[in-house]
Amino acid sequence: MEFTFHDHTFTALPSGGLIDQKAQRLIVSDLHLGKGQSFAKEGTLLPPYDAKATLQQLANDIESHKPQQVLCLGDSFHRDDSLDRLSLDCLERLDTLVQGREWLWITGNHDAQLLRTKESKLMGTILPELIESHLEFQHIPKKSNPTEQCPVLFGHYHPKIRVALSIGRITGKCFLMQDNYLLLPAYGTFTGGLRWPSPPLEKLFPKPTAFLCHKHTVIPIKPEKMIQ
Amino acid sequence: MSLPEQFQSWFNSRGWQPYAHQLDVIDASKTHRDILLIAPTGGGKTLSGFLPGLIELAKNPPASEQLRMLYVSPLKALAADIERNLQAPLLELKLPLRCETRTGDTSSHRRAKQKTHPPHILLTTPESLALILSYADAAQYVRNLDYLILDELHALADSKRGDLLALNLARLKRQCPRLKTIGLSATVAKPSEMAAYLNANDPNRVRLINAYQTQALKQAPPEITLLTSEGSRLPWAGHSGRHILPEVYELIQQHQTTLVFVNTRSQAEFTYQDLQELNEDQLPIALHHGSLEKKHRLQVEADLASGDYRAVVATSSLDLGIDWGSVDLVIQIGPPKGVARLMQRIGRSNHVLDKSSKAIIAPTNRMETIEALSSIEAIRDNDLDNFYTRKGSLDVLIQHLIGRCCSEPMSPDDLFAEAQSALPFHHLTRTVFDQCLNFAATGGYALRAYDQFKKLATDENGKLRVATARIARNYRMNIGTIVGNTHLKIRLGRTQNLGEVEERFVQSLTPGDTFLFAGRLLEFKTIREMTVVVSPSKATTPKVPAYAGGKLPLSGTLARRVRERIAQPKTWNELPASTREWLEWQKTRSLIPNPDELLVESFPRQDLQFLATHCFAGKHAHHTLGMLITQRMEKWGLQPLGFSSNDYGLVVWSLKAIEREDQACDLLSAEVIESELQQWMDDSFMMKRTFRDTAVVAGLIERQLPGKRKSGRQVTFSSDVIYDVLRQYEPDHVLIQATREEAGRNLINSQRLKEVLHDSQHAIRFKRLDKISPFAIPIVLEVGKESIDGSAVTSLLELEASQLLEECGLAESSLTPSNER
Repeated sequence: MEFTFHDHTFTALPSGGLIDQKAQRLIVSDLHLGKGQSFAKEGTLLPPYDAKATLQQLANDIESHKPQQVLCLGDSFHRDDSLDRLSLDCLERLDTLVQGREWLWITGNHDAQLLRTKESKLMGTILPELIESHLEFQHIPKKSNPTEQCPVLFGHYHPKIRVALSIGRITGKCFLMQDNYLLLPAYGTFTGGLRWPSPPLEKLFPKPTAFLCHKHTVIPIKPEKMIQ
Repeated sequence: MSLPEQFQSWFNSRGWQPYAHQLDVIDASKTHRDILLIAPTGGGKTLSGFLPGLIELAKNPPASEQLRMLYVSPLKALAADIERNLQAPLLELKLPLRCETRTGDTSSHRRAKQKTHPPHILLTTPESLALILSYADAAQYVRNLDYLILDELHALADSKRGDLLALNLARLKRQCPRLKTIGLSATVAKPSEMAAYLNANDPNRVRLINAYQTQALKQAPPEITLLTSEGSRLPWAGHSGRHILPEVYELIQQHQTTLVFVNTRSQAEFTYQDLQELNEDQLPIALHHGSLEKKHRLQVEADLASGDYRAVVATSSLDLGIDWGSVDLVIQIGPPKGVARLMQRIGRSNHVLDKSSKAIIAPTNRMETIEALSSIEAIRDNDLDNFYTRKGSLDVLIQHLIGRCCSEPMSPDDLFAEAQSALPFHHLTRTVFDQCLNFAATGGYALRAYDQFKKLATDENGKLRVATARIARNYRMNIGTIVGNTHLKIRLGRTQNLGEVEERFVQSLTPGDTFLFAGRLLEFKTIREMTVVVSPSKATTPKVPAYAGGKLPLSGTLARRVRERIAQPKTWNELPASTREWLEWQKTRSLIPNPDELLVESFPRQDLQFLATHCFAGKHAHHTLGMLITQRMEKWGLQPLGFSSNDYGLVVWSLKAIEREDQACDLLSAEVIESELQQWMDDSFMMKRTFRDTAVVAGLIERQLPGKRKSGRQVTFSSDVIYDVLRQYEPDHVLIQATREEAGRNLINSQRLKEVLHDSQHAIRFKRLDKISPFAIPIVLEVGKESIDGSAVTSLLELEASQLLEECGLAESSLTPSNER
C-alpha cells in the first residue's frame, strides 16, 4: 500500500517492512532475533522458530522487491548474547542476506551493546542513526519536536491498533503516521505490541493515520475507526 | 441397617427420619471403596456423602490436626454453604471436628494456617485441590484421608474441570491407602458410565445407589406449564421476553417466593429493571448473577433462604444445590436449552421431596415455544441429556503433569499409570502421553533448542521434578482449566464495588456511555488500574445494550424433539396461536420437513440471494457450517457476502443464487464437508482462539492476571503468532493436536453437524422460493448481530478497505492497495 510522507513515496508491506522505491531501500525495525530463546530462559518455552520465521519473511520481502539497501531501525537482536545463540542455519541465512546488498544496522536499546562488541562477527554497517534526503532514521526519535525539515522514521514502540469494521474487530500491528513522525511496526516474530492509544503512543500520535497489517494486505485506517 | 444411637437421636431431635438412600450409603461404605449416589436435590444428598465419615469419626475421634475428609464442589459458594450447614450437626452431635473451606476466596493467612494446622474436614473446589496437592509435603498432608466426597458430579464430570479432578482423584487413590470415594450426582441418562469416573480401572466395583429407585423417594412429577400469552403476539426473534413480564409479575404476586431464571446476565439485568418498573406493590425483588459482587450475592442468597424476597431474577448462578426454603414457583424465561438444566432449575421450587415442584416456562419467541414444549415432554418421558465419557483434554493433562512434579519426584512410568487410572485418560496411549510429558519438560519441539532451559529435570533415579522454584510458582499461579476474559471490577464512586465485567465489554465503551449493571443504570467514566469507574446515570434507557454472559447451546436431545414436533401437525394445537400460525404459513409457503429430512430453501431478498439451511444442530454447529458453505460458495463464484445463524438454522447471502437441488446437495455433501472441516479448522479464527486457551492451560503462555499489567508499556503478546509459527514448522506438535481436539469438541460441535448431514444425505428437501420463507425469518432477523471470520474475511476486508480509503479522503490514485506477499 503506497502513501506519501513529506514528499517521499513509500510502500507499506503486510510484513511490517517499508519500501522506499526511489532509494531502492527496504526499511525494517525491531527484528528482535533471539527473543524466543530469552523467553525460554524465563521458563516460557515458545516454539524455537521465531528467528527462522523472521529471516524467512525478510528473505521473501527482499526477493519480491530486490532492494539495493536494507536498513534496520534498531533492536535487531533481542539480547547481548542473541547472535551467539542463533542456530547455525539462521546465522548462515543472515549472512547470505547481508552479503547480497548494502546493509545498515541502526543501534537500538536492545542491541547497542551487541552491535558494539560483535562488529567483527556481523557484516554490514553499524551506525547510531541515518540522516538522508531530509529524513532522519532512528530507533527512538532523539528530538522531542522534529521539524518539517527533518521528519523522523523510527521503531521501538511495536505499535498495534484495534479497529472496528462492519465485519467485526481486528487487532494487528500497524504503521502510525502523523505530522513529522512515521513509526514502523515490529518486524520480528513473537515481538508482541503496544496498542494505540497507550500513553507513549498517544503522546507521539494524538490523531494518527494508521496502516494496519492484516494477513496479505495493508489497510489505511483513520483515527475515528480505531478502538481506544 | 440402623443409625448409631447418637445419630438417630440427632435425626429425631430434628423431627427427621433418614432417607433409605442415606442408610444405603452408610451400609455400602462398609463394603465398598467407591460409591455413586444419584439423588435429587433436597434429598439430603450432600449429608449422605458426609454421614459415613462422620459416623466413623464419632466412633474413633481423630487426632487434633489430621485431614480426614475432603469435599469437592464445583462452586466456591456451594463449599461455603456446606460449611455453614455442617456446623450445626457437628455442634449438635458434639463431634469435636474442625471443618473449613479452602477456595480461591480464602485469605492467604487462612490458607497458610490450613497448611500447618489441617482441619478434619476440608471443603474445596477442583482448582484449589490441585493447588493443595502441588506442595512438596502434599503426600504427608493427605495421608490420613478416609473420605473424598465429590458433589454435583454431573456438573463437573463432563468438562475440563472434571478432567483435572479425575487426575487428582487418581493421585489421591494411589497415595491414600484407606481412601473411600463418594460421588454425588443429580440424575443422568447412564449412571453406570458416571460410576466409572470414580474407578476407571474397575468400574464394576463402584456401588451405585439410585435414590429414584428406592421406594421412599418416588418423587411427585413436577408440574410444568407453558406461559403462552394468547393476548399478545409472540415476536419472531429476540430473547428479551419483555412482552411477557406483566404476566410474570402477576405470577410473582400470586406466589410466596418466585425464582425467575433467564439465560444470560444481560437479560437478567433487563428483566430485573423491567420488573421493578412494573412493581406497583413495591414487592421485594432481587437480582443475582455471576458478575455481581460476592458480598451482594451472598446477601441475596441469605435473604432468599430466610424468605425475605418475593422474587429473585437469576442466571445459572443459582442453578446448583443451595437450599432455598420458601420458593414455591420457578419461572424460566426463554428455553433452558437442555433437559438436565431445566430439571435442576425446577428442583429449586418446593424443596421438599414429597411435594411436586411447580414451574412455568415462558418462551420469548415463536421457535422457543416449540423448544419449551419439547423440554416439558422430555422431562415427562424422563428423556435425559446423555452423559458421555469424555476423552480427557491434553492441555489439562500437561498442566497436571507439571503440578505432579512440583510435589514429589515421579518416574514417567508412574505418571503414566496414574494418568491412565483417571477415567478421561483411561485410553491414553503411551505415545501421546510421552508427547505431553515432553512438552511439559522441554516444550517438546523437534528442534531441541531448550534442553538447557528444561522445566522438568531428571534426578539420579530417573525421576522428574520441577527444575526451579519459579516454575512451580508459575504453575500455581496458572492452575485451572477455564481461560476467561480478563475481568474488571466495577466501582461506583470511591468505594462501592458492584461486581465484575469482562474486559471485552469495557473495551467497547467510551466515557459517557450508559449501561445496566447490578440493577442500576450507570454511566461509564474511566478505567483506573483494572477498575471501571462509573457514576449513577440519570438517563432513562441504557445506550449500550448488554455485556456478554453465558450463552448456551441447544442440547441434542432437545433438538431431536423439536424436529419431531414440527413434523407432526397433529401436535401443533398445543402451541400458542402465533406459533401455530407461523408453522401453517411455512407449510403453505414452503414445506415442513420430516425429522430425518434437511430442508434447504433459496430465495431472493433486497437484491441479494439467500440460502436457508434448517439443520437444528445448535448455533455452534451452524456457525461452522456457515464458514464451510461460504468458503465453498466463494470457490463456485457465487460471491457469498455473509451468514447468520441461530440454534435452529443458518442463512447465507450471496450475489448469485443456488437455484437447483443438485447444487444444494453438492454444497452440503457430508464427505466434502468433513474433508474441508479439518483444513478449515486449522485456518480458522476459532482454532486460534482455542489455541490461546489450550496454550494457557498447558502452561505455554501465562494467564493474564488482573492487576498484573499496570505498566505504561503494556505489551500484549499475540498467541496467534505462536500458533502460526508452530503450525508452519511443527504441524504435528502435541499442542496443535490438543487444540484440534478441543476445537472439535467445544466450539464446532462437528460431530452433531456430521450426524445431521449424514442422516439427511439422501433426504435434502430443496425449495426455490420467490420470497423469504417463514422459517427463515427468525434467522434473517439475527443478521448483523454477529460478525463473521474465516476465509471470507479477507475479501470482505478488501471491500471494506475500498470504502475506508474513500473515507480517509485518500484518492485511489495516490493510494493503491497492493497485493504483496
